[in-house]
Amino acid sequence: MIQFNFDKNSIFIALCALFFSIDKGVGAPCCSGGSAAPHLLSSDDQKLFQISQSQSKVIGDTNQAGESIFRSSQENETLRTTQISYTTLVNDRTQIGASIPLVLHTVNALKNFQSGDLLLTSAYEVLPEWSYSEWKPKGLMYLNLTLPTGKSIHEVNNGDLSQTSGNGFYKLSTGLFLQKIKDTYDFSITPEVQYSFQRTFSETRSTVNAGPGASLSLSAAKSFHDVRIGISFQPTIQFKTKTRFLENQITSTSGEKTNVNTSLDLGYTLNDENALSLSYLDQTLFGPAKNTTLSRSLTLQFSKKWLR
Amino acid sequence: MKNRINFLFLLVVFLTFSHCGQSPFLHHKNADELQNASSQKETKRTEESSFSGIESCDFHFEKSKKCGSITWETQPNLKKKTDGSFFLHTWEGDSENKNGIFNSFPYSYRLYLFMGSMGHGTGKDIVLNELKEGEYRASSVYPIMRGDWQIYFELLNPKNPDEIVDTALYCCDYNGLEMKCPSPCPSL
Repeated sequence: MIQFNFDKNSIFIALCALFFSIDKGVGAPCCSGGSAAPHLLSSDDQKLFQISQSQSKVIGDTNQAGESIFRSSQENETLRTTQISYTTLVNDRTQIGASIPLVLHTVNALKNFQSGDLLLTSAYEVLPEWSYSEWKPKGLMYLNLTLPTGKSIHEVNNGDLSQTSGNGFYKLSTGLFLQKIKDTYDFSITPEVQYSFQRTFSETRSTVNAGPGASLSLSAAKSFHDVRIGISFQPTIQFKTKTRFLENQITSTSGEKTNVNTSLDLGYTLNDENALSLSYLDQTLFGPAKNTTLSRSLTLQFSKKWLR
Repeated sequence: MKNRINFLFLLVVFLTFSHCGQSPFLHHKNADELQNASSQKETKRTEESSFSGIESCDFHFEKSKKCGSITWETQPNLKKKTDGSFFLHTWEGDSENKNGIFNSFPYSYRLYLFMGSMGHGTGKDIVLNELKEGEYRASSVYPIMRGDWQIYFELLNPKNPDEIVDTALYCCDYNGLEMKCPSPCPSL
């Protein structure tokens, strides 16, 4: 039986977090590169529940040569995403979790609300912190499976981009989350590799092999009592995608997709179990960006954790 | 003093990262500026084309040695959310058309847009209407985003539309306001 123990302030702020519409997203689901953020239990907790409300606005596009064009103010593409995730320990060093986004995708006058891609997570604490070390980080090796429960651009046959809410592929990703806390500072580095499996889409009569991808996330933060301020950089790459049309056997190989997610995070600890965070993510600040859309997003997240 | 050093350090890091990685924020074009440039270019092109009596072979059906050319009537516009259209001329032979005689082929056609760089299309075909012998009007041309697009032309067996007799490809770079064609084709 799950029990929540909130004071009045916590409830008010949590309700704001849940229902006050703040923008987030990491980019248009059709194109933008990125890594599924692992919702890991990185501290000594038993369970973690997170809900976030975010909105993302697509600012521009980059082509294969890396030339960026920022969109006119009359071109409106936004993604409003509510994401719910839950992670729990299954034994002292192993954890599992799941995360599902609900996406409202708006492209000019067209809107569609549907689920995004479901993410299943498992992780093992390969580097536990059982004793104090000056240099040794805490390390979690994780394995994620993304299920294409959202609708991808390969399934849209009427040119309406607002119908897209996912990437369309079964994807396995694995990475190593390394974290070091030193005084009031914390640092983390997360290299990740991904593989998207080939899939045939009857709607567009195509077979698409998106193949491998990779990302590297670097973050640093400083805490001031209950407030934590951090920054992170995450370069990502999706290697060449091969597409084949069933009818005519035309094959096409896409270029690589690259982008760098830069984010500024502000966290506030309500009490030992509850926290709020506000993140601003920008894909336009650093490059190289190639063959992708460029977005800016704002996310408000509420986290509830259960201590061991 | 310490704060100033920290600020300078962050500034140096920002400039280094943005320079090395070609920051889109610092190196980009705006769609509105391109709109103006595109309008001026369109006027010049119309004047130039009126002096030319020769049609170049814009796309080529290799197997059946047939050619085609494209003249844009209306450019697709992402800002105004309007479809584009073009006139299509086809003729027998594998080189430019010097005599102005066009030929229809004994096949049905299928035309569609595909974005090879992204690995997806628009999900719907271009609509083609025959105006007279060897002359067509293609409409509902709407690339859903900016980038490298290819127009695929397929000649289909009229008795069996699943049988593709020949294919041709025309590559364009779309900036949201203008299909710049031809542009280099990606590896296909």
